[in-house]
Amino acid sequence: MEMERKGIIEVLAAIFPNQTIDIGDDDSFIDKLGMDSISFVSYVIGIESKFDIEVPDEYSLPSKLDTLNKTYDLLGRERG
Amino acid sequence: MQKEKPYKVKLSIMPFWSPLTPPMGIACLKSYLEQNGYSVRTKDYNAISSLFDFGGRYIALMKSYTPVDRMGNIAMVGYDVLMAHLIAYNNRDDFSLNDYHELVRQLILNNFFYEATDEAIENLCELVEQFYALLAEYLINDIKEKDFDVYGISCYSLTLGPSIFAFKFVKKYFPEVKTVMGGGIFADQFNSNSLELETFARKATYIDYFLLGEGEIILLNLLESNFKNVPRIIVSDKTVKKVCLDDIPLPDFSDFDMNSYPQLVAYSSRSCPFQCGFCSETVQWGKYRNKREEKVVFELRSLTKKYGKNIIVLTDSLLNPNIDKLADALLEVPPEERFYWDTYLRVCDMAEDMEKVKKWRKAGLYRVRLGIESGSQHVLDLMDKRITIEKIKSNLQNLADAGLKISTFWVVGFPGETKEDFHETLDLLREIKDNLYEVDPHPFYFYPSGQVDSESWEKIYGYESIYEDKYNEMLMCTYYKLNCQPCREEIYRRLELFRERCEECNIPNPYSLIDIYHADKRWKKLHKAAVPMLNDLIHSGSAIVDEYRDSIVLR
Repeated sequence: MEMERKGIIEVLAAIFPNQTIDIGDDDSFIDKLGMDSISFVSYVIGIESKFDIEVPDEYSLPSKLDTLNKTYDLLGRERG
Repeated sequence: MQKEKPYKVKLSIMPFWSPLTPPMGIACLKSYLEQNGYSVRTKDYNAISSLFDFGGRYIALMKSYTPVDRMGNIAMVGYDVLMAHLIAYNNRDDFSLNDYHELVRQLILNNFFYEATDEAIENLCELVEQFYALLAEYLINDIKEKDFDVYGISCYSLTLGPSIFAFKFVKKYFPEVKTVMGGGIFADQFNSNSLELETFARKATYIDYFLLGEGEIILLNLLESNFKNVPRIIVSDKTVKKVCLDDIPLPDFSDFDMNSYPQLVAYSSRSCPFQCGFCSETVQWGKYRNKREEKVVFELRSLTKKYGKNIIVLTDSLLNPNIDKLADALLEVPPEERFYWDTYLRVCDMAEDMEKVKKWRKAGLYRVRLGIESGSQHVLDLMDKRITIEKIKSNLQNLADAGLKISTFWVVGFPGETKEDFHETLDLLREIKDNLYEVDPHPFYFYPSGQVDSESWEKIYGYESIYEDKYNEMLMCTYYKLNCQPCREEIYRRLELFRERCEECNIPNPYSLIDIYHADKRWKKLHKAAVPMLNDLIHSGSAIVDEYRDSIVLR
C-alpha cells in the first residue's frame, strides 16, 4: 500500500506542482486540490502510466476516482 | 465606452451543457451589451465539476439498472430521460409522489423500453434531489448580493429543468428582478410557431420575457425599452434588424475560469446555407450570413493569444462556404502563433480534392464534424441531404488520410427508413470504421413545427403525444411521435443495434475528456498523420509537435 500511495502522490505532485500534496486516504482531490475535468484526465493518464494499467470506463467520472482509497480500490481490481 | 446604463444584467447557463468550451452565446451577449453601456456578469454552472458530474452519475446509475440489450445510445438518450426528469422535479409538488415516480417510470419505458423497478426510480429521484440541493447552494451564493436587475438564462433542451429551477429561485427572493429566457431551446420544441411555447409561457409565470432567435438586438431593445410596452415573447424575425457580424465585438469570456475549458469557441457565420428536413437551424437564425475572413482570422488570433489556448471550436452550422478562404488566410499566421481549429462540415466536392484537404490540415484544421445521417441513399434522398454514399466514403478517406479527427452524426429511424435501409447503415459503418474517429447516433425526433419538414410530416403521417396528459403537465410541454414506420420502439431498437455495431467495430462515441483521450489513442494508432491528441494540446502551450503538419508542402 505504501508503494501505491507514493506512486499516486507522485502523479498528483506532477499535476499540481505548486501545491503540497498533504492528503488523507478519503480526502477528495476535487475539494482539497481543486481537481477539475482537465486535471482529472491528467490524473487518469498518470495512473495508467505509473501502474501500467488501463483505467476502465466506470472510473471515468472525477467522483469515481477522487480519493486515495478509491484509487487503491481501482489498483487492487486491475492488478488482481 | 458609453455612460453606464441603469440595468445590471446577470446571464447564466445551467447544467447540463458540455464544458469542453466556454459558453459562447452569453459571452457574445456580454460583449455586445457592454459595448452599449450595460454592466453584465456571466456564469457557467457547467464549469462546476461537482454539479456537472451529476449528469454522469445519473447515467451511470441508470445504466446499472438497464438490461444490456436495451442500452441503445445511453450516453445520449439517458440525458433525454434526465432532462425530462429535471423538469418534472420542479413541478412535483403539484402532483402526488406516486405520479412523479410513475412519470420517471414512463420516461424510462418510452426511451429504453423496459419497466424500471421501484428501487431504480427511488434512487434516480434521490440523485435528482441531491443535484438540486447543491444547485440551490450555488445559486444562493451567487445571487445573495443582489447585484443585478435583470437575470437571463441561455437555455437549451438539456438545461431546461435547472433553468426553470433557477428562474423560480430568483423570482422567489427578488420578485422585482426581470427574468429573461433565451437560447437554442427556441429552435426545437419551443419554436416561435409552436403551441408548446404558448403553453410553457403560460405556466412559467416566473419568467418575464422570452427572447427567440439571435439575441443581441432584441435583448438590447428590451433593456432600452425600460420594459415598457413590449410583448412577453419577442422574436428576432424578419422584421428585426440583424447584427452585422463584421461589427460586433469579440465574445467576452472574462468572467469564466478559462482553465476549466480545454478549448476556445468562436464562429465565422450564422445560420446555414442548406435546408435538411430534420433540422431547425435556418428556422432559428434566418438568412445565412458570414464574417469577412480577415475579421475571423483576427478574432481567432486574438482569442487564442488572450486566453493562452491553442485549439478553438468554430460553431458555424457548416463551414463549407468559408473553409477554403479561411484556410488560405490562416496559412499566413506566423508559426509561433499557430493554433488548431475544429468545425462542422458537410460532405462536399472540395473534400474530394486531397490537395485542398492537406491545405486545411496545414492551416490548422483539427477535427471535422460531419452529418452523415444514414448509410442508405434512399434515406439521404428522403432527407433531401443531397449527398451520395460514394461521396461520403471518398470524403472520409481523404480527411482520415490527412489525420483529421472525423466525428460523425447519424439519425436513426428517419420517417420511411426501412429495415433494409437501416442494414445498409450498419454495413457502411463496418466498411468505413477505420475512417471514423467518432460516431454519435441520434434517434429521430419530431416537433410539430420548427423543423424544415414538420408540416409535411404532420400532413402525411399525423402525430400523437408520447406521454399521457397529466405527465405532459408535469413536463410543461408535450413530446410527440409521428404515426409512421419505423415506430418509436423500433427506432430505439435500431439504436441499440447501431451501438452494438460500433462496439463490434471499436468505433468510440466520446462524451468526456477521458473518453476523448482513449479515442485519440485509437486514432493515432490508425492514422500516421493523426493530429496531436487533445490532452497534448491542452498541456503543450505553443510547443506543439505535429510532424505531418510541418511536412505538408502545398503545390
